[in-house]
Amino acid sequence: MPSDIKPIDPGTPFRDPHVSVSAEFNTQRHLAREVLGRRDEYTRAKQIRVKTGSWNVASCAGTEKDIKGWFVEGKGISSLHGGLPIGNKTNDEQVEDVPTQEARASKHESTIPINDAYHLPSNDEIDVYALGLQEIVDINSAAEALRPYNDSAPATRWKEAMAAALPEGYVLVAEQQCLGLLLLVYASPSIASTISSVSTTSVGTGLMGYMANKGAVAARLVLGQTTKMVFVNCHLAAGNDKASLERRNWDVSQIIQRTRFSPIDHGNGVMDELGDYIGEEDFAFWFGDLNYRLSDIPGDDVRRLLLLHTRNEYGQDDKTRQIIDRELKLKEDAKSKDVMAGGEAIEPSMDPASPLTTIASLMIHDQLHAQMRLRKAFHEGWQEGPIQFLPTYKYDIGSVGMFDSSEKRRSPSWCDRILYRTKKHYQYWRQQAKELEKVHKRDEEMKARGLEKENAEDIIFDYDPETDGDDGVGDDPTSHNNESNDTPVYQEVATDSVGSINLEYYVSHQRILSSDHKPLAAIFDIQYNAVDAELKSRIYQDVAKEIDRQENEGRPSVTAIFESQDLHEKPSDGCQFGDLRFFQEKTVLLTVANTSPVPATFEFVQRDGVPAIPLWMRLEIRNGPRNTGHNNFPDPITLQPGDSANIDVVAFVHQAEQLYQFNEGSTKPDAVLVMRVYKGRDHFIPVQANWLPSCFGLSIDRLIRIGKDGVRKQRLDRELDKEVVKSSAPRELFRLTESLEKGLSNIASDPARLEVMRQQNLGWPFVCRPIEEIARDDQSLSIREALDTGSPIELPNANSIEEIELLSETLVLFLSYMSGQIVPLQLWDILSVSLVELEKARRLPQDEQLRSHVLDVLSTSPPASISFTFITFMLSRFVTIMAPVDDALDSAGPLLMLSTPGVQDSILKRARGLSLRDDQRGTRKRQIETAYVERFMSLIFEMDDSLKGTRARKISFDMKKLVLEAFILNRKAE
Amino acid sequence: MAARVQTGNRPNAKFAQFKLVLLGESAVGKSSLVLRFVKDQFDDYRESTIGAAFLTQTITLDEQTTVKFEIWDTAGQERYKSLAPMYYRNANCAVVVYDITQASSLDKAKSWVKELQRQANENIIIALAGNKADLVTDHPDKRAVPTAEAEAYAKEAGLLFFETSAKTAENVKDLFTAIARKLPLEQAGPRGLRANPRAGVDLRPEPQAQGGGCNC
Ligand SMILES: Nc1nc2c(ncn2[C@@H]2O[C@H](COP(=O)(O)OP(=O)(O)O)[C@@H](O)[C@H]2O)c(=O)[nH]1
Ligand SMILES: [Mg+2]
Repeated sequence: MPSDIKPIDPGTPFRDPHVSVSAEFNTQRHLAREVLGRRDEYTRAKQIRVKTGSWNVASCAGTEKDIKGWFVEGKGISSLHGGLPIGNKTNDEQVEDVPTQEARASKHESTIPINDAYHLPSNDEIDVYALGLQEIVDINSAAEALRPYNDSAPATRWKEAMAAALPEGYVLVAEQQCLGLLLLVYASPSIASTISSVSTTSVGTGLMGYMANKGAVAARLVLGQTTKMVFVNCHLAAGNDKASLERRNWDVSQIIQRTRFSPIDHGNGVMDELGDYIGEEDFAFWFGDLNYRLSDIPGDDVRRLLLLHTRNEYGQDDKTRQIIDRELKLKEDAKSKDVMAGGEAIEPSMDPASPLTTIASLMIHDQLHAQMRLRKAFHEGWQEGPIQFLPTYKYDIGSVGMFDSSEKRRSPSWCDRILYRTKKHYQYWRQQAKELEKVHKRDEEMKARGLEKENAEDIIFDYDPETDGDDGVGDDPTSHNNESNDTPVYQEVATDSVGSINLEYYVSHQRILSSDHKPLAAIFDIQYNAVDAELKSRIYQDVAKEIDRQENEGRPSVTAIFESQDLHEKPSDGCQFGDLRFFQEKTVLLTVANTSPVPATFEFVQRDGVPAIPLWMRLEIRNGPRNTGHNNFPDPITLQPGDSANIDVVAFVHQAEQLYQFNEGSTKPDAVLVMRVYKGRDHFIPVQANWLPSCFGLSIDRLIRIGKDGVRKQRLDRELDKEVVKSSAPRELFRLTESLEKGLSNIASDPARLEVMRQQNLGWPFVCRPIEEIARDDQSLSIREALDTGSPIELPNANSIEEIELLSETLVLFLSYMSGQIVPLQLWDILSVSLVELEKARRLPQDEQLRSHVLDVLSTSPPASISFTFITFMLSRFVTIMAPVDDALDSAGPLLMLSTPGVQDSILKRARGLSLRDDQRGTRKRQIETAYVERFMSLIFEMDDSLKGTRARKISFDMKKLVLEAFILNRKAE
Repeated sequence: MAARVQTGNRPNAKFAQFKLVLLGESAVGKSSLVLRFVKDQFDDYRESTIGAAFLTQTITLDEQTTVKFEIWDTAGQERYKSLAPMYYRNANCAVVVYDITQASSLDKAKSWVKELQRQANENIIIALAGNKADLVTDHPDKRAVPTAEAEAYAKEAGLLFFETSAKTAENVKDLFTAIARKLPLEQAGPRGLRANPRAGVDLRPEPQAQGGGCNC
């Protein structure tokens, strides 16, 4: 297939000018929505580990030096108080001991204990790292708080530290800073490539309710095109008093209300119209310095209670130990060495002396849990893992276990927290809230009717995730079903379509010394359904096809089928003519059927200035109206549903110009037709034919270079120019005239046939039938084919008369289509000038000498003179046979009347005189001669178009006649 | 040897063209029968037909006679039901298909036959095709319509009757050939004959003839 033909493109819609761009856009949206609806079919379960970390760095210098150790490598967990299962001490002996570590601590290097072999899943075992830092700048300085812009230097420092800490290739996918708050989300290379729709924002809730010294930074992203994740890093109002507590609750509600993410981009130019809120996500992680404290317990008691545990980190003679002991008023005796240390046999959580027991007893006072229970904050489905680590606040900087030893002796508390929520929990909460509202309403009504109030609280807290349809919870290591049911916060949710989350670790990094807060971290195992890009594209195509189908169902559409006349060939989408020869008509049947439920009108249209149907083709409706106008294709056709039209697609090369082009190879017989269905789509129909070169339409100069095997040996006509001259005159001309003479002799010997022949019309047999008759005549075709292939001319089905007719018709066609005449203008000019000279000198010779004079002049071009001889000799033979010499008139010879003044006039008269005399005598012979002369004049001589209608033309005509007559007429020499 | 060019013009050949419509419940195998007949293919997972499909197939009855079918394959779903008259209007023949493993599909076929006999061309040739015959060769218990029952009905209603399988091609060609033989072939004329032959352009000598058809 030539490169300029494009295959039928079923997808190209006909652009209806009434269909606006926005309609197209709507289709896009529709498509995206439909594809989304089939999400289950193209998503595959995926499991990743997400680590969230939170740390209030108290704007301490050097804190970023610890980030690699605890956040990326998972080190710095005290085996006693870090939240690990107690008793799982690994290589404890080799770890740098606390006093040494503290002594070494400086802000110039990492405070991580040396040889800390115990660590959490780390490095590339984590797929997503989300880090929330607070107080990366000093927010307590008014100058910082009121700064109108962020100082980016601290954030840059942290990013550099993270980049250096993370495994190679991890990508920062989201970042947001707001004064002291910094949120950084990193993802492994493979996960990062599936993250989209990242949006980050800040909400200030500090001074005057909106300043950024307190508040949150948040990020939203979409994982695997399906799973929306939200990370919130906050720093809530500080303070131990009730007002501060309420302010924290208010901060939370403000953050939830005011956080807005940008609309989700669904790809393919489809965006959600509205922004995104906290609550729309599949998984949310909320961490930071929430600042909730312990209530209803003297801070000093808490401090002292906890110091009892931390003192064990220090050796007997250690300064810190001594300070603690002094403060706790403990004697330095052997017994008191491990005051709180339990016996080996007791389960740590049951051991009244274990830190876990202390932690559990303190957690009862935790404000956050209390607020959650009271539905004042984080009640909307939020959960937290079990706290099995010491309060993260507040320590002396540089110390593992010394709680604030300053004047203030701030009460230790679990200020820093990591909460999380799944969509399922959130939805559950919302449903409960609705129920509750109903219950309240009913209460009101009952109250109004004076009835007893129902206990709504019971209803809302009836929910036990374990018994409410969730399975597989029991074996979860993070589930703490034995906890009292007043902490309904960290129950695991079983897998649903959204995905599932499993808290693996919730720990503090007790042995990080660079801030007055300990960092804390939680590691989650998350299962979600990620889009399989390949599956999705398949579904996308499916949906697009379906939408297309639905749209097309009500639109006009037609089916077009092409069938060649050869019944053995299968119908096809394109129009294939096969081999195409000069003057051979080939027809392909096109059937157009309206397969739509509405009337369909179609027509063939031009495209880019290319005619709708090339000149060498025509389209005709069978049994339909004739093509009107000058088109070679029909007017628009309307078909009712269930109707079809049969159209003949005809290829027929008969125009000289087209013939030259195909022979030249400058154009090829192929095309792409555009069949336009109104309000439907365009059909692009490739048309192809294989052109077989022809000796017709060539110039004499090329004809004489054709070998004896015919022109087909050449692929292109112009290749002939490189060939040597192979014959003195066109072989085809020789073969035709020779065959004609042979046929003529055959007839001459058959009196009956001869009689038939003589009764033919004047000019016979050098006449042509109508074009189409010739085109459909296999015998004519076989003559042309014989000429083109150099094979013998055989006409088994023709009698001798028909044979003559077919051959002579072919000869006329051959001469008609030849590029240039046998005697071109230039040669004729030479000849005519010489004749005029002779006439002037009154030496214009008679037939015999005239003939040799003419041949003399023509001999400057041998192919011309030989061709001329072939034809005129053959014609004279015809004249002889068709009209035998019958009377004396012929021997009278031409009359020459050269007495008139003008030479040209005299030639004119001479010619006219002959005609006049013939007319008078009315002999058939003369008539035949005249007919032949006139027939061949334009076939042999090139006519000068510029002379058209002038007297000169008439003279030229008469001179040509004179010359031809000299050759054709059988006048006896005087 | 003389050069011969095949032109496909066979002077004595007879050619007739007929409109054929397929009707029947959805999924009985109408499209599959057509696909088998036209392309000699079978597809286990075919998309169901939307609205209507159009195909053509030409068969040779004997050396002299070729019959071309213009086949309208309709969609079986109810929502396309109202369109059916457009397809059987002017139809010369119809194939009403049922699935021999689904008794209800024969009822549907019968209602189509009734509709055709009332509404369609009065000379319409109707064939009844009990399709999916292959399904019962190995599992005779799958058959829901006994051959005798359908045959008796076809006889009574004046229909051609075949049990076919688009899957194995059993009886498919025979079905269409039988229809072709019942069609009124005296209508047939030589293929390629044009109702309006173009007026020929005479090539007779006319010196300096320009433009138009031939440059003689
Ligand atoms: N076994 C078997 N299955 C068939 C045959 N004909 C069609 N089917 C199946 O039947 C289902 C419906 O065929 P289809 O041609 O679309 O039915 P239509 O709705 O009547 O056009 C397709 O899954 C075909 O593969 C058959 O002769 N034998
Ligand atoms: Mg179908």
